[in-house]
Amino acid sequence: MTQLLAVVLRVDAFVARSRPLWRWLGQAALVVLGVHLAADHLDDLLTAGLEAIPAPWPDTETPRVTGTWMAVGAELTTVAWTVWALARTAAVEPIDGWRGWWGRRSVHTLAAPLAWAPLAAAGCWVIAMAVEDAVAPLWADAAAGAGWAVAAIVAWRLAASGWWELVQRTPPPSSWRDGWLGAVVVLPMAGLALRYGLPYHGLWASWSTP
Amino acid sequence: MSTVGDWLEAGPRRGGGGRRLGLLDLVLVVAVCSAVVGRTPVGTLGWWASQRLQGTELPLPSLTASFESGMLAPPAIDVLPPVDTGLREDQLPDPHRTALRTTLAAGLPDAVQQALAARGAEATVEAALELVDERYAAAPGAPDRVVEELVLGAELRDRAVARARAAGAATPERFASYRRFLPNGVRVDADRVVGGTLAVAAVLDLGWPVADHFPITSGFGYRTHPVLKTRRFHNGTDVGVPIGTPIAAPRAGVVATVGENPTSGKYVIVDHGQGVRTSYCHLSAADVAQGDEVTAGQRLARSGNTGRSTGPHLHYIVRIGGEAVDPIRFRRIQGSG
Repeated sequence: MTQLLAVVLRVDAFVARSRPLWRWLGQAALVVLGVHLAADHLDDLLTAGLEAIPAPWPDTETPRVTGTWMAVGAELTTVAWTVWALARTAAVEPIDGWRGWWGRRSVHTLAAPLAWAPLAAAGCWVIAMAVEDAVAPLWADAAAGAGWAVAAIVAWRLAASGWWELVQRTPPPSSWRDGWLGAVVVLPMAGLALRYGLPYHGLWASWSTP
Repeated sequence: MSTVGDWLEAGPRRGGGGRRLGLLDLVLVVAVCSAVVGRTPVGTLGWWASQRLQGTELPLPSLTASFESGMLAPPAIDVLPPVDTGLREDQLPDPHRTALRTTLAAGLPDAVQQALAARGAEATVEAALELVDERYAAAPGAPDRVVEELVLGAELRDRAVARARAAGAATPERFASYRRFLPNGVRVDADRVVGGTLAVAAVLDLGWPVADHFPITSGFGYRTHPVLKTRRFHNGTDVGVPIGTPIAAPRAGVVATVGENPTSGKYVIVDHGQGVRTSYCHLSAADVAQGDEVTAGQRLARSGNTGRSTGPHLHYIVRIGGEAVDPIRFRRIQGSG
């Protein structure tokens, strides 16, 4: 038994050393899950907005189709930004305290952790739901608890560590405007994730409604 | 700051945590990555790319299928005529019955097959309808819910509705709102049978936008275009009506658009929910504005001859999940019911 444990610990240590090679994939996937909850609402907003424009659309359905594809585009752009932002951290020396972080301030420095937090949190909720659905047929009473427990572990191991990497290894900017283009897409998506991708609205409604 | 960082990075690095928990992290990464597949456009792209790398030639799947607006597959299903006459009050009524029979005919979902097997019944559409009738008798007056619970079960449906409510959805009880909170495993059946049934039922519930005596001047499908003189797909039905004829909403809904373009002229689009939209083109004037809620029979507009048109007529389009369907096919079924 002790020998088996030793082997497991050795394998565990080996896998842990290779973490920089693959953990970013899980961190990005977490954001993918969160960003889709946001994008699924974005297409409704875009469609309604486009339909309100008195433009000579070639077809009556053009605004709806355009809105949906713009949402797909925004989702893919946000995911590409996430992978890019994580990849940039690999080659950057960590900052030395808040002063060091302030010395590297730019739009990207602020936008990256601001966007990451709600998108990754929404991804954690998706994981909580998936675990709950998987456990429910086996043990209905424990399903919700299991979901939240796994989500908490994912939040710690992937979401929080990703957020910390973005803060601690923010790249030195060439200008304070660095990253503004990505922020234009990513921050609204983060806002939508905050509004539609987290389960606190209903909780608030249930508390505030007698 | 570094203390917080160590904790986040590791579960304290000073205890060697950074060199531990590798297997846990790997399991989490695999689990999160697998959750992406089938749920998002990125997952769809990743799955497709992996199939291509393995040498399987597949067309690129729809990237919009995971969006609410793209939840319904094109209605390539044949709508069956209603065959159950003299239904009792405790049986699932039309149009839900015909719509459900239509979607079940294309294949019984797993949940229905299991429910039928549990009671020792054959896996047929008729047996499934008997099952539905029993459930409807227990919850009369709620045909949508009975259809939803047939595929999802009461527990899963309630769980998804609670999630939609927690996320602040305006109408959490509606399938379109809670659908995104369903597990991947049931979503295909749910879209096909629940989404499909509710949509087809909504289309079967549509009235006709003008008085019945006006003639159909051009049907749905391929035809030689009267202006362009080329063979083109006609995505609606033309009804010959004089300019100024009142056009009524065939079902309650919300006005999605009031617009004008060189092809359709002045037009109005009404969203009836359940993925069903109707459009009215070549109008002379609209009597509603975007966002207006309309009731069945309410006047929407007056017909005209605007846009690319050879004479006064109404171009009437019915769409399910964005795909145009033949309005006449559904009108005939209504008439025969």
